[in-house]
Amino acid sequence: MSHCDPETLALRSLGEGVGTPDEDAHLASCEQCRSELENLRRVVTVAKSGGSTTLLAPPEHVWQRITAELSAPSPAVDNDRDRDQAATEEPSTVVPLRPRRSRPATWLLVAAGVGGVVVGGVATAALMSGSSTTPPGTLEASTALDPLPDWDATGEAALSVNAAGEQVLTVTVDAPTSGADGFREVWLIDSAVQGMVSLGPLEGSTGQFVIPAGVDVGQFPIVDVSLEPVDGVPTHSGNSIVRGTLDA
Amino acid sequence: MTATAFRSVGLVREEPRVTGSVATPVEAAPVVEDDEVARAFASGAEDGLAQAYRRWSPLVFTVAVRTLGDRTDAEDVVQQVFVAAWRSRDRYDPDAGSLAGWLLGITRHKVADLHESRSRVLRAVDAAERLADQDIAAPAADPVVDKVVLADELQRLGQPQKRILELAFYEDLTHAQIASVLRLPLGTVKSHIRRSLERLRLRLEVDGVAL
Repeated sequence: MSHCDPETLALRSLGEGVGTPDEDAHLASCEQCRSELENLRRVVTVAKSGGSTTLLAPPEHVWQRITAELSAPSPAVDNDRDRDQAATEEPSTVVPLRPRRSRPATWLLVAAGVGGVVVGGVATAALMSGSSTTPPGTLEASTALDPLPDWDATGEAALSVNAAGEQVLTVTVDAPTSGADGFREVWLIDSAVQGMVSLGPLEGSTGQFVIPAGVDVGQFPIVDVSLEPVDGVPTHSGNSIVRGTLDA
Repeated sequence: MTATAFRSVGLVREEPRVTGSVATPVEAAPVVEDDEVARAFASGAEDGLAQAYRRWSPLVFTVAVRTLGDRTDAEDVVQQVFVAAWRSRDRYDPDAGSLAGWLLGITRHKVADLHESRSRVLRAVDAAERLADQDIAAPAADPVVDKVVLADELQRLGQPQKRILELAFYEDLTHAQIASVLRLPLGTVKSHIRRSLERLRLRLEVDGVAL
């Protein structure tokens, strides 16, 4: 006889007792029809196992974390777990994920909105000594500050404890300041690039900033210097110049 | 199939522990063809990642939730998968396979990594009572992957096909009963069942693990 009717095979795969004795006989001898039935049965078995499955969309903040991670090209931000993939990665291959709006890069604004962890602000920053480049007291950690794409600048940051027991961050950036573009601001950002703390504006090429009490640098180890337009918007412009991660 | 894989079928039956924020069930119908999304992704188009995320993040997230039983961990896996995928998108060839299958491959690796690190933690926490490594570290996401891939394809079937298959799979109705419940001609139900099962089989071949 000819091969089994495909619709009958489909019903058989669902466990319905359909089909004629002739078809049974054919199935017993026909490799092709048996294999077809077997394949459909596997589909049915998988589909039925554990009942119906509802697909779940991840919460919105997962997407925001992804864009934040991809928009932060500093190798220091790359997680160890992605080392294998990240090894071949160049910052320049990261492209914007969403249409730009008014500000040049939205990732930090997004991150700030998500984390809600923008603590303090310019008011909490204390510019201690604009001219000193030497970290006071005992050195705790330091890092080179590497330029982000589109920037030709370097710098360094050192964390030390002064005589008063305060943590002080000494930041040096060696790029000419251009007052016309705005001003520079120093930030501490957490490893997940979710939250950040503003330490205040950087005047000239170097500055010292007291870390506000209660801010754990281990939690916000990334030192970031941004260029901020004079627009009165207190959040990060998204335009980072240099960045580095303090090794605790 | 290994004994390990069978054991994890038990995982499928369990309702995952809910530890994180409430996720939204996915109801949206597909708008853009999968091929187009995959090509946009591979070419590095500006919204390539966003499109791929919209289309397949529920797949990745659901597999992760069901395998790990923890939403917070599952969210981390989704993040890792899409970040890793975007960074290594040069290695994805749209002509060689589906993007969903590729993403699910990465998902299985990330899930296995997480199991591995959990088992390390377990060993450290209680070395004296530790189980054999296999007992702790066996991720065996494969049955979960197939199950979720099918659920995704089922979601994408139009009506009445989706309803017909749901009645057949989960209510154990015969095609005659389905025809009566949905007031459809017998022949229509039979033909929908055949075509839809074929479509599910094809999807499982493309994106699944077992077939």
